[in-house]
Amino acid sequence: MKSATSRRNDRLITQEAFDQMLDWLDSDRERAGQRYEEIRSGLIKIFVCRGCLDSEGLADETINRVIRKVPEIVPNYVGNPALYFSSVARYILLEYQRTMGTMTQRRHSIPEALDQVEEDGEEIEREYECLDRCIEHLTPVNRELILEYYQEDKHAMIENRKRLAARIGITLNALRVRADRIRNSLQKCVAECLRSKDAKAERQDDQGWRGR
Amino acid sequence: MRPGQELDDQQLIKRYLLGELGEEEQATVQDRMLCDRVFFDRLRLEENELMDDYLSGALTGESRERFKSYFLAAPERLEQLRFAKALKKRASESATPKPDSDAAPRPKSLFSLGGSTLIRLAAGAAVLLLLLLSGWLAVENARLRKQVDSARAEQATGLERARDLERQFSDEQRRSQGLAQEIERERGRQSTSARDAAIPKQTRDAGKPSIGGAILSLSLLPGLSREGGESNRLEVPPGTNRIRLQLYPEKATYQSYRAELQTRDGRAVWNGDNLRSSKADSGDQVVVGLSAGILADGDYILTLRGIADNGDRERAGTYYFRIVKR
Repeated sequence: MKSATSRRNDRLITQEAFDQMLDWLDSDRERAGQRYEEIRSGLIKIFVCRGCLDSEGLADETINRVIRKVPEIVPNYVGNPALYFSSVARYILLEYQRTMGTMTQRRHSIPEALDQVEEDGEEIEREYECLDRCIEHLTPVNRELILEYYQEDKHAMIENRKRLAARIGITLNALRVRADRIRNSLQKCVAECLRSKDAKAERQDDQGWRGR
Repeated sequence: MRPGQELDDQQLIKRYLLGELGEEEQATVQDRMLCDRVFFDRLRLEENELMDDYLSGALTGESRERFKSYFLAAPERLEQLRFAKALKKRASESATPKPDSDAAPRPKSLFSLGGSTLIRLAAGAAVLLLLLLSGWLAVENARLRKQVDSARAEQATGLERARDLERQFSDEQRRSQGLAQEIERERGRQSTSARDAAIPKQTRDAGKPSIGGAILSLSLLPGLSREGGESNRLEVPPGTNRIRLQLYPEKATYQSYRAELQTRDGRAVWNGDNLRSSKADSGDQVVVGLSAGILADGDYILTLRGIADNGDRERAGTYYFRIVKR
């Protein structure tokens, strides 16, 4: 059995090993960096889609395992390196499912979490505040587009979007892509806003404790 | 792209998102997610569309059930859904009355309004705003007064509780000192034996005089356990007061750490700030002390984040363990 130190050292990733992986992705360092980010976000999405709890951690674990294998595989590997990441991710998923139990076991708690989303609780209010702030930061054109895009329900929504696309002079599909882009930037902004609110609350708690 | 390919992809992605594909098809989709950026963007688009359909009631029957039981399994998805709901609500609130038919005049876009109309609208809005503001201020004033009164009452109760706790602490300290002396006497009687530092291991540590009762300790390495999680199992006997987790971070160069503990279902259990790493024989470690009472039987995930010099939180390790109460 390996000692704790050697097991731990096995898990350490050196800068040299990381650079080797980047070289494998692309000989141009900038493009390699971009490719790395794309693969990482793709891996995170895969783990999210498969219902994992710590998708970022699992994506990093996948990348670390690939990095450790790079010196061995690069000389003989043929094809898109991303496919190798994908096959390692499949093993990680199997290990995850073994460690955490099957997904069917943990789905029992979803209705409860969904109830929380459907209730207009304190968290939703915080989210609204941040959303308002982020909407204010959009350009007027994007603000109008995103608010109009999400106005109606069901069939009225489709008709509304068709009218909106016609008015702007783009196809419905182009409108979807544009609204999606604005929505993603808003979501990032809201997440950032909530994080800074949390950090502020923590600082206040900390000061409160120190003050006692 | 061949004709109809886009529609096929759309169907494939939707089935993948709802967990309707077999393992092989899932693997194909995942390969494309990593190799084809356009496909990946389309998947993100479909994710959002599915959430909108769910919120608007357009997703029905089996698909709706699969959405709830499969699509929402990851906590990120619930966050996305909450965001989508907030966005939809804001959009509905900002909705302007729609014309009855296409022949009727359309409400003008903000940017096509004439100057005089804008001024009239602005003046009207300003008056309305002032009225609303004064009403709100009156209500807010009353609410704040009520809050001050209740805060005063809470402060008095808090002081009383603090005194109680202080008394309990003194009693506990006296008891602990007695225990420490007893342990020292016991140590003197027994010959010393070398401590096996192999991890992960479970030890009973009674050598901390500041806490009365048993302390259990578990050393954890970051990442998933290849042995299927059994090595990260902590059996907690009755009477255990504290659980001490020794975490080996992936990177130990941070000034301080933050630890976040959640259950397998993603429910937050505990978090701690300003944690420091210390040197141990087997490497740098961050020690987290938990009250045994907050941990029930089940699986837990602890996320350790290092606080960088610029204040950013960076992932320093994720640890999985199981609590089994005896």
